[in-house]
Amino acid sequence: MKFLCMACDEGMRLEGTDAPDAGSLTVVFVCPSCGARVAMLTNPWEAQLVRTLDVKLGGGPGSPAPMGFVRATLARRREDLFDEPDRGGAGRDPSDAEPPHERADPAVPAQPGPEPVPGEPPAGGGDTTDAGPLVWSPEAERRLEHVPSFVRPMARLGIEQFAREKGYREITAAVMDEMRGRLGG
Amino acid sequence: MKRYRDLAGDGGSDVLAQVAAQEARLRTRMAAVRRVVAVMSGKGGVGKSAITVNLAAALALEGARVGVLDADLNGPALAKMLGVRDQRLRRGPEGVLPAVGALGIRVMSMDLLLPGDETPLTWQAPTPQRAHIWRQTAEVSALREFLADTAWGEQDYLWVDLPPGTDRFCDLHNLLPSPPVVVITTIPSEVARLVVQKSVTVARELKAPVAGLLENMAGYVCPACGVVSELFQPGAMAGRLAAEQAIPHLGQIPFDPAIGAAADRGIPFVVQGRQTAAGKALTAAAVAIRAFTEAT
Ligand SMILES: Nc1ncnc2c1ncn2[C@@H]1O[C@H](COP(=O)(O)OP(=O)(O)OP(=O)(O)O)[C@@H](O)[C@H]1O
Ligand SMILES: [Mg+2]
Repeated sequence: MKFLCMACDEGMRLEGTDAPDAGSLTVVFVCPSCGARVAMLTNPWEAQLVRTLDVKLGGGPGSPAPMGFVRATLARRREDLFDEPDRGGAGRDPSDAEPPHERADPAVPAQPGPEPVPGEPPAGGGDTTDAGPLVWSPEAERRLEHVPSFVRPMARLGIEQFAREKGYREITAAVMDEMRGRLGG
Repeated sequence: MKRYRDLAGDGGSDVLAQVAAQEARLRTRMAAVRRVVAVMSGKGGVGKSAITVNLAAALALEGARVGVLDADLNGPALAKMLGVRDQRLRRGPEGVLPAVGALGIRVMSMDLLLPGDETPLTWQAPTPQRAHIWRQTAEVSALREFLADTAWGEQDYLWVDLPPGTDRFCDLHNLLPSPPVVVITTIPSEVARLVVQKSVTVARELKAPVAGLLENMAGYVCPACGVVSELFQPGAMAGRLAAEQAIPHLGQIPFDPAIGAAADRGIPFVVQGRQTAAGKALTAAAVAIRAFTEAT
C-alpha cells in the first residue's frame, strides 16, 4: 500500500508505526514536500492479516528472533518456550535450567546424545548473544498490561528487540517512551 | 495524478524485502541439509509417521546424520514416537535447538511447543470464531520457521512427516529452495490405491522426484507363530500400482504389533527389530531411498 499526497502529487514517506491498540495498528505517513501527515488506522482483521504473514508494517529489524512468529502467535503454548529469560529473575543462574531429559533406557544402544553442532555452544550454556536476561521493571510490566492480551506477546517481543538493539538490560517505562519516540508516535 | 507504479518502493514497509529475508534465512539453513525427504500419503492412518521414524532411524543406524520435521502441526506424533516429549526447546545462537532422540536424531515438532496433551493447535485471532481464516497462512508461517529457525546443523537427511493429503506437501515444496524427494506410503486397499495416484500427480506437477511407493500393513505377522497372513486385499497390489505409475516399488512392510509398541515407547522399531521381517523391509526401503537420492 502506498500513499500519495494529492496536493503535491508526491509519494508519502512512512514516518512510523505505533504499538498496536486493541488490535489496530497506526501507521503514519508524511509528505516529503509539504509535510502533511496522514495516519492509516487498520482494523484488527487487517492487522491480523499482516501478522499472520509474519511481516511488519513499517519494516522490521534486520534479524527477527528465531521462531518469533510461533512464539508470538500461538494462542496456547508451553510457558518456558525456547528458554525465555526469567522475567522476575535478575541474577538467575542459567545453569539452574533443567538439562534435557536423558533417556536411561538400556534398550537403546549407541545413543550419541545431543552432540554439539559445530559452532554452537552446548545447549543450556550461557547464551547471551541475543537471549540474555532482560529485566522488566514493575512499571514497564504494568504498562504492558494496557496492551490488549492477544497482541501483548508481540508487543513484548518488539520492546525486547528494541532494548537488545540498544544494549539495554532493563526495560523501564523510559525505554518504552524512547521506542515510542523513535517510531514517531 | 501519479499512479501506484509511478511511486518507487512499496510505501515504506518493504514487505518484499521482508519476505526475501525470510527466504534467505531458510535457504541458508537448508544449505547444510543434503536432502529433504517428504513422506506422503493421501490417506490418514496408513503409518506415515511410524514409517518416517523408522526410515530415518534405519539410515541413522547406517551412519547417516538425520533430522525429522513433524509437518503434521495439528496431529503431531514424532516427538512421542522418538521419546522426546519431555525435552524442552532451547534457544542457541544459531537458532532453536531441536530435541534429540534415539540415535541422535534431531526432532522438531509442534508437540514440543504445546503445553499439554489436551491442547489443540490454536492461533491468536481477533475473534476465535473466525480463526479458521488465518489458520492456513499461520501454519505455513510456522512450517517456515520450523525449517529455517531450527538449528538442524549439518544433516544428510531431513525427513518430513506430512499430514494426510497433498496440501501440506505443496506448502513444503513452495518453501524449500529445491523440491524434496517424495516417498509415498499406502496400504493394500482399493481406496488407498485411488489416492496414491493423486499423490503421484501432485509430485509430478511440482517436479519433485518420487523415490517410490512403500506399502505398509501388507500382511499380518502372527506374534505367536511368525506366519504372515493377509490383512487387507491379497496380491501384489503395490507392485502393480508402482509399475502403472512408473515409480519404484520400495517394498512391503507387514503389520507387526511390535512397530506400534515401539512407537508408543518412543524408540524406533528398527533399533531392536532390525532382523525381523518388518525390520528388514524397512531397512531395505531406507537403503533404496538413499540410493535414489544419491542417483538424482
Ligand atoms: N506396519 C505396522 N505394524 C503395526 N503397527 C503399525 C504399522 N505401521 C504403523 N503402525 C501403527 O499404526 C498407528 C498409525 O500409524 P501412524 O500414526 O504412523 O499413521 P499416519 O499415517 O502417520 O497417521 P496420520 O494420518 O494420522 O498422521 C500407529 O499406532 C503406528 O504405530
Ligand atoms: Mg502421522
